[in-house]
Amino acid sequence: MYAAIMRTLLRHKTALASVIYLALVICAAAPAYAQIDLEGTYNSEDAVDYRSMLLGPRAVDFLGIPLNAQGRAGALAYSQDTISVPGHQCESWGPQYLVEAGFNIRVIPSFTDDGTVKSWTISAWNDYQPLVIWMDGRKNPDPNGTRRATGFTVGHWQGDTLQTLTTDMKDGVLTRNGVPSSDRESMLTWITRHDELLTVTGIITDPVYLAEPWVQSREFIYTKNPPDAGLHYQYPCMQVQEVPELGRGVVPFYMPGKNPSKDDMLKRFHIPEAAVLGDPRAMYPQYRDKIKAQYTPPGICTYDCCGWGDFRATANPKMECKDKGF
Amino acid sequence: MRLRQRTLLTALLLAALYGAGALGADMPASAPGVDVVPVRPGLDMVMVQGQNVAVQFGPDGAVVVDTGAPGDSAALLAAIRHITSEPIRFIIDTSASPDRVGGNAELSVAGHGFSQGEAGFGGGHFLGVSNAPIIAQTNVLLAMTGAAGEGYSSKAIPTLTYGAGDKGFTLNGDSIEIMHIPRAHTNGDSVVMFRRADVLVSGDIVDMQHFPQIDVAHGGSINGEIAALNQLLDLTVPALPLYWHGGGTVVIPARGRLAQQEEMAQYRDMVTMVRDRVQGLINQHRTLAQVRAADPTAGFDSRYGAQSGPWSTDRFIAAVYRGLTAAHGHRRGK
Repeated sequence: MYAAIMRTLLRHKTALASVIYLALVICAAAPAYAQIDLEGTYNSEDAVDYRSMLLGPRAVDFLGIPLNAQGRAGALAYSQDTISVPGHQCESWGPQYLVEAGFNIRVIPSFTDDGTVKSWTISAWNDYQPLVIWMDGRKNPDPNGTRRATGFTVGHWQGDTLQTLTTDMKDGVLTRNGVPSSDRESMLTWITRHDELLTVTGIITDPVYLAEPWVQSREFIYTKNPPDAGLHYQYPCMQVQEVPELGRGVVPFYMPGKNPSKDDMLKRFHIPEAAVLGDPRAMYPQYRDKIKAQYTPPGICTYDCCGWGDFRATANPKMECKDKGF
Repeated sequence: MRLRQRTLLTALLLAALYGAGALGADMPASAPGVDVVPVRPGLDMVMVQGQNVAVQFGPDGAVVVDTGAPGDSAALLAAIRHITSEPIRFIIDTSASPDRVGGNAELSVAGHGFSQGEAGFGGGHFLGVSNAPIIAQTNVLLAMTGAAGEGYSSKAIPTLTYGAGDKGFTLNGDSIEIMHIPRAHTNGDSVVMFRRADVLVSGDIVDMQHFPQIDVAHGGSINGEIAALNQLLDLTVPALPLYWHGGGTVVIPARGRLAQQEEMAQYRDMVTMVRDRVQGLINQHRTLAQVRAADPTAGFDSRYGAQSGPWSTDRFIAAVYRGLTAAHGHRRGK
């Protein structure tokens, strides 16, 4: 059969040329098939780390974040009242929020004149400045100019995975409980779509506040019914004097050693202080083995320990859960 | 053949001229230690060896806020020439610090103040002025002509001074407001607001790379610095309500990248926290050495601190301590 086709093609040189041309065109266009269409609206998979994603992390819970001494001092000084202070109200979270928070997202492409993707924009809830992933090979803006809260991001495809690099951020907070992030931070991200599932994995590096890179991952689920995705629209935001006590010039913070929540995790869950305060070693599985002999789980859990939508203590079946859900 | 040779020669000449022009045009941007950052139309920030200079330009000429460190004038002038071919009309000094006034003489001489007979100018203060006038708060003049100011040539000295309050003028269609900030970095600080461009030049009150330099010997104080930061925060407008569009007031600091309101708030917070920590230690009758040992800048050292150099963390803590002990009559070095 194959030989017959070839004989026919050789008899018709024009047809052969056309086939070769077509094959070349297909080969040249092959990388485009590696680029997955990310466009759409995605619900956040909130069952993962639901406490920190939905309600926000506890005031002093830096478990698993590899803080250095400066980052730890900054985080312990942070007061939740800060976000009520004019000047801080309406601040956008940094780009890292994509891989450590529980918002739904919408991914929107823009195109060049020839139809290739120029950028992917990830928009979310109104306190997240849209993250724009530039695919057109543009250079970074001048680092001495004004910066976007979500920084400057470039991307390229690695097979079916979109790899991005975000730099040129502003100073801000890494987490909702005030772990600081510096303008020298960078985030390397891999975005992979498996049918309905979107996996975003980020490696965050900050020479100012982190002792080691911090790896975070989130899952998002595609939805064909955008209203289900809910809070992914941009809303206007205005600053107002929310709290009379936080008037002009007032800076809420905790003096060294005075953070009232410092021992919460130790008292409630018996987690060692060093781990709660972001000891880099606590990131690794070996740390659990190391403290296993000394660790005694609390007999009764009274606060926020039952897992997502579940009234059982999922972490330890022997532990009685009495917090009536969150 | 002769025609071909002539054509070739002309082409080579044009190419050479183009090349020379291109090189000249690229020189400031590519010069080591120089970065020209567009801020708003008609207003650039020039970073020269780490010191920021604001250059407003247009058909009326250029207004230059601060003139960099001594020895960097040639690079700064080259950068300004790259931005505009119009003459420098005014120089504004935000303080008398060497990093702010180091190029006063060279830039003033290279500039040209308004003089009688210039189209569209009706005379007044600047009749017969040839160099660009230097505007500053009165205490800058006193500092540069007093004992500490020895070494400045007469051409570097401010020629238009103001006392308390503000001074304003209009150039290139923008209202330029110069405001005196008492006892912050020094006792002669000014901040400059370009109202139409919505750009604020902070001088040494804001430094995006370091703790603020508080020159106690020249009238600076930590409490004045914090008052100044709160005042600057009031002067800035955030990019709200449509924050994703960008915009808002842009601040040109003494050093480092451009800032906006939220970064001003962060900087104000940091300075206030350090002040309160040091004050808390002073209330416990700690000496300066004990205050340093208590690390009152913890959480900010790796972002703004320096182990050495002209403005180390130790010097900053000492300035805060001395300012607070002087303000409250505490005994020092106990």
